[in-house]
Amino acid sequence: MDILLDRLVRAFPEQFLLRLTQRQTPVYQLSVEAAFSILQWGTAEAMSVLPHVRRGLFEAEVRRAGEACGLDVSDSAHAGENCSCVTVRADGLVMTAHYVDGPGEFVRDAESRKQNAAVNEWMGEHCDERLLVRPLPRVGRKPIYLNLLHGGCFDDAGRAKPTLDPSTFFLRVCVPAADGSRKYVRNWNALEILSAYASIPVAQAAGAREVEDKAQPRRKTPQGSREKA
Amino acid sequence: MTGTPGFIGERLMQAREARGLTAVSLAEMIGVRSANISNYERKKQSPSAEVMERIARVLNQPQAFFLRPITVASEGVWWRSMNAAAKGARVRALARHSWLREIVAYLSEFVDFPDVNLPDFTPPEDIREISMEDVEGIALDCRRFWNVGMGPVADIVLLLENNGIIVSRGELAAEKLDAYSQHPKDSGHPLVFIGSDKASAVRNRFDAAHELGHLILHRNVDARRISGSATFKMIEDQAHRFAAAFNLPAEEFANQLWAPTLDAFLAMKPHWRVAIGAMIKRCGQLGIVTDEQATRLWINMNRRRWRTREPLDDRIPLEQPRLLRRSFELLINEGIKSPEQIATDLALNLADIESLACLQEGYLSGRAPEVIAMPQLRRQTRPKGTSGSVVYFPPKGD
Repeated sequence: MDILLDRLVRAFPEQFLLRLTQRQTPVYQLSVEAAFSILQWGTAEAMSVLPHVRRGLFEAEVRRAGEACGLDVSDSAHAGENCSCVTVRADGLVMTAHYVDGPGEFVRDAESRKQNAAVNEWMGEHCDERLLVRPLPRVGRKPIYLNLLHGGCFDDAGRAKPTLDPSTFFLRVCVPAADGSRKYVRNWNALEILSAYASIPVAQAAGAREVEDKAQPRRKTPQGSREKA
Repeated sequence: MTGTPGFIGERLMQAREARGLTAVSLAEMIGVRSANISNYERKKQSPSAEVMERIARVLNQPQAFFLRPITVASEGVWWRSMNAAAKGARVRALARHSWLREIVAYLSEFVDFPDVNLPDFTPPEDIREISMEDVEGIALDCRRFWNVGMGPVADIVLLLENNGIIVSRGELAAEKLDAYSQHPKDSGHPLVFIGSDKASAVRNRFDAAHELGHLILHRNVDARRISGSATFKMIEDQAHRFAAAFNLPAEEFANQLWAPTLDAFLAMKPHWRVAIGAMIKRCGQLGIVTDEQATRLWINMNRRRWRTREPLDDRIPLEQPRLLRRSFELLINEGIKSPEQIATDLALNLADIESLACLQEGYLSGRAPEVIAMPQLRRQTRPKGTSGSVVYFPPKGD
């Protein structure tokens, strides 16, 4: 398994992502109801506010999922002070949600995102995975920033528009590159991550106290004394 | 008509019960009257060589089995359910349990199992003197005694076996009969049998802890003398509380629980390896949720369809007993006994030995696991004269 994916599935409980996957379609449907329920504006205006409603509703969903799973959740304002931002932390990973136009779309410019990308800088230095050991070592006290991308898109004459078709909804977790190239060094589909959970033994992930195996029968000797098996 | 010399009537009853057959159905299968079966079992009559052969074939035991005296004395067993519906399963399990004890006695001739190492708690003979607070304390003492800390225990079955408790696992074929245990007087080693029917690791872990509760709390109580459903319920409640306290120590569990929600329980399930339902009950016991909140959680579990099968049940690996299996492996690997000698000595069907000792199927018999042809659903046939027709959709623009 990819070393960063391994780190991700060990840090975030499966239920966190599972819940977001399950809630995405209902939340998006709710966003349609909200955007189109205002009669004073037309379809064009409703379509234009739809992404903002979706962003807001999904941020709330991320907060709920994080709280329900006992993760460190905080609300903060972006550096640009244009909107709120829910941040979920788990074992040195910091995740923020972003509504984007497409599954490979880089998040829009924002001071805070630049900052986030900058702290992933060490990853550029250690990009050769053969140099890494499991578990992934922490570099100083710097966390790794992840972007939770969500949205729904279709290509309409070369332009991505917010769609109401659930089959086009996507949910991905990405690791932004730190070199300013506006690329992701990792970009996983949520379902890909969920299937990665299935491949890690629960016992390993759980951290339960191991029991030393002493259930060994010993051979009886003719004298009746014991002999180690 | 000459009978079979040395025929043991109790063996016939034991094998019949182990196979879940009534005397009437066995009589039908071997072509004698049911009165004959009754007479064989009560030693009033002995079967002819021909009937003997049919009995052995139908009950799937070697003929030598019916000539071998029963060496283990009947003793009380702690059942998880005294429900009338589970009576047949109890009878069947008890018969097989006698075989398990014979296997343990046989192995004890050649091997020593780990010493029995149970906490030195002297329980009162009157179970009414044991309060739930006592049970909580005893469960924690047990953890301290075995030095397993207060967090989740990775393998409860192994923990029991490490401490001299012999564990077996297999089908019990009853909804309410999850496990049973016994502390036989003739053998120093307590026995725990865990039903494999539900195939859920978290259920099995709870069952193992529940039976441990019986072995510790009710050591001085003769299970055969328990009468009355109220007393039985009290005993079961105590064992249940012990299991809950052993699996989820109050302080540690409460400290880790951030919110009494289904999502939180689900997130904690892989860590504690306890069923979500058991966590809800534990929260009720510890006063973390009120009765009303617990009811709401149960309702929501129903809505999520988790009451029949909880999530992660297929992901948490089952804990497999290993002591009996290793004992047989020791006998064979060290050349103490060959599989044929074991078969002759125990005079039991090898498949039964393999199953009770949790050996791999075919380990003793040398036969590959049988592929059983499952009955197939009858193919649905279309009624005559109603063959399907293609509906024509005109293309757009027509």
